[in-house]
Amino acid sequence: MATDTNTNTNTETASGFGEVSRIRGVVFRYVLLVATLSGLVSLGMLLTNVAVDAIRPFSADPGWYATYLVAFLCPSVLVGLFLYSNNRDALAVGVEGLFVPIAGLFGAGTLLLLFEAIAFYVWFAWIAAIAVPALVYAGCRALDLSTRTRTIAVLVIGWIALLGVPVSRFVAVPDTLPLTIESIPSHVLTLLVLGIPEYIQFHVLTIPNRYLTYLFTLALPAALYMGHRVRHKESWRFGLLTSALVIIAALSVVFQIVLPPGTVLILVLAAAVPTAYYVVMTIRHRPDVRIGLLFPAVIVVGALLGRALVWLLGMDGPTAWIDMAFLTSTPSGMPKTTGINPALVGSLLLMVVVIASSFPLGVGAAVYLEEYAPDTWYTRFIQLNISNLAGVPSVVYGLLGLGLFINLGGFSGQTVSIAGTTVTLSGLPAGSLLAGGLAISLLILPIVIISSQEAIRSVPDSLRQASFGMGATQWQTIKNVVLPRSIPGILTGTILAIGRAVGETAPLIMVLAADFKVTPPTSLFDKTSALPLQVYNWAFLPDEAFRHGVLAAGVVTMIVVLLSINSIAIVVRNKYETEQQ
Amino acid sequence: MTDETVTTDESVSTESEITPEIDPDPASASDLESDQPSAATTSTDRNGTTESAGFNTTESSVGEAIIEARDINVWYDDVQALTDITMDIPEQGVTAMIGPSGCGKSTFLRCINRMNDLIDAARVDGDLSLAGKNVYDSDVDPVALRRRVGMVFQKPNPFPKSIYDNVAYGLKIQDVDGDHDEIVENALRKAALWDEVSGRLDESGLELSGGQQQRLCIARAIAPDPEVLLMDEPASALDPVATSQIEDLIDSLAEEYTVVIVTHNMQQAARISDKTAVFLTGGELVEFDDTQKIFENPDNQRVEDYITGKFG
Repeated sequence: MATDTNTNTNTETASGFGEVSRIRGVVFRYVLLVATLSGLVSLGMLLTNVAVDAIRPFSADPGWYATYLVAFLCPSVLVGLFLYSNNRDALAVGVEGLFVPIAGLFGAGTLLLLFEAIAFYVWFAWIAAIAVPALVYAGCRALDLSTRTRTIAVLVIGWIALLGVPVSRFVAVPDTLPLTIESIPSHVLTLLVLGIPEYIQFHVLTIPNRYLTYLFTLALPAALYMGHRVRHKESWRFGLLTSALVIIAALSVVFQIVLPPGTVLILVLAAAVPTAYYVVMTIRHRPDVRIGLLFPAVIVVGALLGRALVWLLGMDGPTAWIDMAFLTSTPSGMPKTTGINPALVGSLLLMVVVIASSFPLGVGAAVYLEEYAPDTWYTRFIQLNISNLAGVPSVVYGLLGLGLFINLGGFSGQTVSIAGTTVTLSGLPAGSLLAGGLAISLLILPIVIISSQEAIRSVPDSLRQASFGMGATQWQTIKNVVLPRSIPGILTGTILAIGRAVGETAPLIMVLAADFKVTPPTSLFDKTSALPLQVYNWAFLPDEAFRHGVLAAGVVTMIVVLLSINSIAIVVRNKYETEQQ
Repeated sequence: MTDETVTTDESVSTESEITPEIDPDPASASDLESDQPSAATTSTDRNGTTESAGFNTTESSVGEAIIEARDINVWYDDVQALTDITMDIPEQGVTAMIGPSGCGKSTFLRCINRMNDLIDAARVDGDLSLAGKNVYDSDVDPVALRRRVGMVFQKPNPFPKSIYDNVAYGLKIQDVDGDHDEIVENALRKAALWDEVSGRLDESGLELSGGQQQRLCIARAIAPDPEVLLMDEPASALDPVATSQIEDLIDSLAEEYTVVIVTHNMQQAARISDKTAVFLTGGELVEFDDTQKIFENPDNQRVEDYITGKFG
């Protein structure tokens, strides 16, 4: 490293303009370069080490590498170079075309992990209940009813659908109902009394199985959505055709046997359908760049070909610690069979809780501070303290979560009597999904608020003036002008904050989340584990294989989750940037 | 219009202020020094005829006063922006307000639809009636008031929405009954934009050129059918061709609406307005009369000095 900053040449020269010494500047420049690179290089070395530990590339046959080199890498690189030299736009389309199925597979994996924690019949019951007010809303729109009628209808029907007729809680309903013609009135009565979710879960004897549940709740909306998109771009007839094709694709997975039909259905919907849509649309509408689709095609075919060849030739790939089994099995005492599944599901569900709680609160606070709050000493005080809160150590937020959500500020376990009835206060269960998620929400709330404020502040004031000048109220201006314009920035900031939340460990330790748990949480009040806690647990096990192999696999899993979240943020930002300008 | 002489002293402002409306002096960067009275009286009329010496000689068609201002005073914190403004703006026709930068003409315009309410520092004192009702009465809802008064700003500010949604914005927020498609088409026709955008109403309003954007903003302002149309230097950010299109448009809008326009450009005021108000530094209304009188034979020496370019 060049540190000799004292070197300073004399600039005296005999004739001409002379020279001005730049040595200090040049030294400074290279010191900065070293400073920039040192962090990146050391982090890169660490991650490479971790990846080598997790994947163990040296355990594979040389022939395995040779096969993939010939079948997969060489054709891909050749096609990539060909496109790069001929038509860069086509290459960009090709990379995009590769990204779509990969993102689809990631999405499918996430959905599958989430559905693991949610019992499918509960899911079906709630979706059915939510579908009723949604249909009522659509009907009201079609009938052109006034906004007030529409709101009342949706609220009333929605309440009954979700929770049942309020007063009828006191009506006794039979415990079991036979499915006969005569019992239809009591079915209707039970439905009205309990609301759809409870009715379906406890009184419908023929609950659809997992596959049918997904068919109704996922494939049907997906078919309608794709049909709508295609209708918008093409024609009415193509839209119908697309909807039909999606349904047929969803139905045809009944006949396959390798994977459970429900799993295949989700894979088809999340990965195959978007990929097919992208490919067809590119071929139809962008003839100049459709050659770019060659790139993902060669990569996919090459990968499959390589897989088939190594299987035929009987060559072994690397015996990686991280593989499908690692992601789907539960932790155990054996390094070979241990897995990260409950922690992975726990982390994903924690993120769902974090998003659901911090997004509305954070965006709401940002809108208030930017659009409504007067510029007074106390708003400035709040503003200053939000910035300060963003820097509070996460362990402190953990303590806050423990005190607030689990101990209820010391009131948990105490009894209070209200109007004659005695109630025992109790906080959330220690280490529960809800308590952990809320503790992390507290942590990222200031970041969400600050980034949302930035986004809202970047909306030009001339747009607000235009809206007010048209006679819009403040609420109409916020809803129609400010939020639509700032939502990309808000989403980007929030998603990056979520990325940070994935790796948070301290708040989870403080709210007593599990660092070793063999089942994923099944309800909001169930004890949960999380990726960083599980990794922390493995780091101190006596078995060498845990500390080097399994730990590395866990770290790689965590980093992949983190990078996926960050790439969602990048995609969202790019999408809106091209749309808005 | 085709043989309209585009004089070089069109004040073409290229400033890109993001928030010109908050500024009590929105166009401080526009230059005025090249404005000459001789240009005003000799420039060719938009119809190609010169007998009217560039004036719109329609003062006889001016109707009853629709806006009556009585002793309007405006302060921004401690700075007085308008001093005792009293004027009657007639129904229909075009009323122009001219004057040097910072003389309060935009501030007065924003008093009419109470846009000054949005500025914390602004304080308005006095009476201003619109169609007989004092808009500063405590029972007047400024939002309801603004629904009856359209406004077009200095810098085109279409929403980042489709052309259709831009024009339909007022209809949507005001819950206007009727066939929105038809109203949008009519507004675009009146704003002389229909022929250019009829095939691409679902494209973003931001994809239009500057002059088209400003006409889109005018269409947006007139779509809910306001009684008065306020224009705050609507052409100062546009090139001469777009400016002349906007001027033609104002001319035709004046048949239906009361147009109040603030302008830096004296030729523009002379060409398009029936009445002209001259504001001078300190927020005073120095003279308010028929446009022809103001430009040919002003009563006030300071107005004459300003118009002949001796000061300003």
